[in-house]
Amino acid sequence: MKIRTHLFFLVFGMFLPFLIFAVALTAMFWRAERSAVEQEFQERVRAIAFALDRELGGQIRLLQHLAQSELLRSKRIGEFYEEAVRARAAHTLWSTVIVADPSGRPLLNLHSAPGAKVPTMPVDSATFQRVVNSGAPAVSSLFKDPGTDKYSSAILVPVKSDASVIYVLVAVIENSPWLEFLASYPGPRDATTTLFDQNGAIIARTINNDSPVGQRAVPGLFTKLQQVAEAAYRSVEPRGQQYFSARSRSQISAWTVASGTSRNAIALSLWGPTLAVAVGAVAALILAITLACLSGKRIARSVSGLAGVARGFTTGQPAPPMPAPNVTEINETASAFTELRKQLQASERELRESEEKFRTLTTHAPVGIFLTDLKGDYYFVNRNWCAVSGLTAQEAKDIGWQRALHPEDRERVVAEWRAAVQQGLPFSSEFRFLQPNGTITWLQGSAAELRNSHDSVVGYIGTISNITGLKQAEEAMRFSEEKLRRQAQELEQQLIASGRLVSLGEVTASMAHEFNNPLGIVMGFAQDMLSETDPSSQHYQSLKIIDEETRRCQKIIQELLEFARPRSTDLGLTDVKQMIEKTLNLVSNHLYKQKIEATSTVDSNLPQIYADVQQLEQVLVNLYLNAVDAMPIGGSLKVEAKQDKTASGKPTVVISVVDTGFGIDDRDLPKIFLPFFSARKRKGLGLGLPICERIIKNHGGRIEVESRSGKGTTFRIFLPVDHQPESGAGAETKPA
Amino acid sequence: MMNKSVLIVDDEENLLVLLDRILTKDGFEVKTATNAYQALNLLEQEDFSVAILDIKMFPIDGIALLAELRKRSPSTQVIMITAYPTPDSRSQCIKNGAAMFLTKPLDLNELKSVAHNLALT
Repeated sequence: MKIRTHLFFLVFGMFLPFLIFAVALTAMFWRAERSAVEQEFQERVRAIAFALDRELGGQIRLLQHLAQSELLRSKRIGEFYEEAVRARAAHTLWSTVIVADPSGRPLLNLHSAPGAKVPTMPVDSATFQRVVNSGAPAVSSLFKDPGTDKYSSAILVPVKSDASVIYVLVAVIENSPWLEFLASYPGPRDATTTLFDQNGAIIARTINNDSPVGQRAVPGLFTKLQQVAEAAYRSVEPRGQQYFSARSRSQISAWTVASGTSRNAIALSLWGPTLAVAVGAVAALILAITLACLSGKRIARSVSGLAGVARGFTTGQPAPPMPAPNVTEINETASAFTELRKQLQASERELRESEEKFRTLTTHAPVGIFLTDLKGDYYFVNRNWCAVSGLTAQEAKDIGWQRALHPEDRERVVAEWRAAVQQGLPFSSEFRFLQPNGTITWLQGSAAELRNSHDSVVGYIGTISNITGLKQAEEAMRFSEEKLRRQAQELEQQLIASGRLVSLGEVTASMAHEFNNPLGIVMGFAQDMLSETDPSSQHYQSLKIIDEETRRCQKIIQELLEFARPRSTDLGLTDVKQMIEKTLNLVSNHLYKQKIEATSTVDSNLPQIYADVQQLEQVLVNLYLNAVDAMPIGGSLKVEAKQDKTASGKPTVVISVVDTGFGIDDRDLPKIFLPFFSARKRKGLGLGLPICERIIKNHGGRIEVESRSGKGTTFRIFLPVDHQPESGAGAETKPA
Repeated sequence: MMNKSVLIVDDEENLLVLLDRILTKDGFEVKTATNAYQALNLLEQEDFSVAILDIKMFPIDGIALLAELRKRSPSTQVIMITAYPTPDSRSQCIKNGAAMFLTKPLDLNELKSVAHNLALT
């Protein structure tokens, strides 16, 4: 609701009691007025009755004076006639004079000439008798005078002689004087004044005199007339109108004067003042409401102005000019608003400046910067990003940035990005952008979580750095490496083709073939001959030696073959303990023959390792045989296997082969793993240890040696526990 | 009736002499050839239960001969021998239907045993 409406209701609410009060007052006034009018009526009729009494009293006295006539007393009726005529002429009210004897017989009536028949006594006998009996004057009720045929009434006075009534003197008065009498007492307009006789017959009435005269009053009215001398009452006339009447009885005549008026008439008279009051009240109300509305309008305007100022905050528009505020509170509010607005503007300025700073930063940053929401959808990219991607900031929004990715990298990078976002991990990847114009740029993209002041993640901030140069350099390097390699190969080929260089592999292959063939044949024959020769024969020893030496040749060739073209590593889960036991078994003969005590200690929960069993067995046997060679007069051979960790914490198995032989010279120690190095003669090509080292290296491990001349030698093999099969298999390395 | 005939093909004549001697002693009927042509000739004349072929021969090498032999005489079990085994040559032999692949210098006992077993199949 508007302020105006509120005020309207306020004012109306305030006025309502006043209005009710005014109405009540008016009602009271109305009633008071009415009763005043009624009171007035009452008094009026009373006055009239009083006047009537005076009039009647006067007439009675006049008649009584006539009744004093000597002629009457002396019963000279004939002569009295003239006096009566003279009296009648003097008292204009009298229409006739009648003399009657106490029985009621009329003796004289001025209506008839002297001597003529006297009309009948018009007055009722009851009244007549009363006068005779009481000797007091009376006033009759209404009757029709036969002499005039007019409604009349009479005054009766007794004529006394010697205290007894000898005659009754009657003066008849017609109605018209009474009408005049009534009319001489004007009342309110519309008020009817009626004169009733003792019986309730209308003697005279103002307004429409002729018709009602002689009519009886309404019976109810008549009884009322008789009951009380004075009264005021409301009644309903024959015609249905509401009437207000007041009456008063004449004491002398018992006639009743009544005056009545329609209540409307009374009401009408009251309308004037009531209207005045009503009009005044309404006028006051209207005035008040108008003032309220005007006031409300002014206040509303001020408040609207305030609302406009407040609205200006949100729209950023300058506030419309405030209408001259005339309400203190609104003034205060307006100033508070203005203050607030200033502060807001200052804050806005600061914010804008900080945004500007950010914008400058990101715009001029030499890397592409992007911001994403929690889901990983882009909402901001800087200029550099756009330049590198060939997309506009709008195109990059949400998942539009993916278009910048090179089609070959897109799937991978998008998957990496999604995974990072889902798991809340930092993102880092290398990929290419492909611009619409075909430019390809290599980039290093990184992103980290962006947190708000409550330390909750609100999105991601990331950068893309151009690493095309780097990649190109890498590529160039790879290319040149490849080129070099090819060149080397070509060179090798050329050299080979020119016959100047032959790969060792080829040498050994053909050599092995050449050697093995005749060797095999010789060995074969030797064995065959041995099988047919008796051991006691002189040739047996020779044949045996031939067999042994050819076997030795075979071994050498095998070693060389092995070294030149090593076998691929065939990895499988290997139980180290089993391997050690098996290998010790293999050399048990040698150990026994040379009186060497062999012990093995293996950790109880030694893990299995991925290894080529055959190759590792070869290594171990090689080491054992070396140890045997080092202990020609016996000794001890200890084999240990335990778990260990590398410096970086990787689990390792360490196998140690410890002998108590004559050890390795300090000068020779660094050379023992070099191929073709043999510390002593007749012990093969010196390829055993190099081969062992290579095998161990192919297993991702290393071999170490510790030795003291004269004290013994310890070989330690370190093998990783989790050496994966893929990296070791198929390792065919070219010989050094 | 168990046929213990064996055909040995190798360009090394001395080896042929050796193997002939060894296998004859073992109860085989031995025929030898120094090249593929001779071998194929012999194959036409009789069926062998076992054949021992050297790989490195000239002009037709053992593998080619193997393929041909398997075509002509599928029932003959073939042992390939070579002084220089490579995974490649080994798989080729097996692919072409060789039953066994042995390396020179031969373990004569092993050879005897293998030949014997193959002759039984």
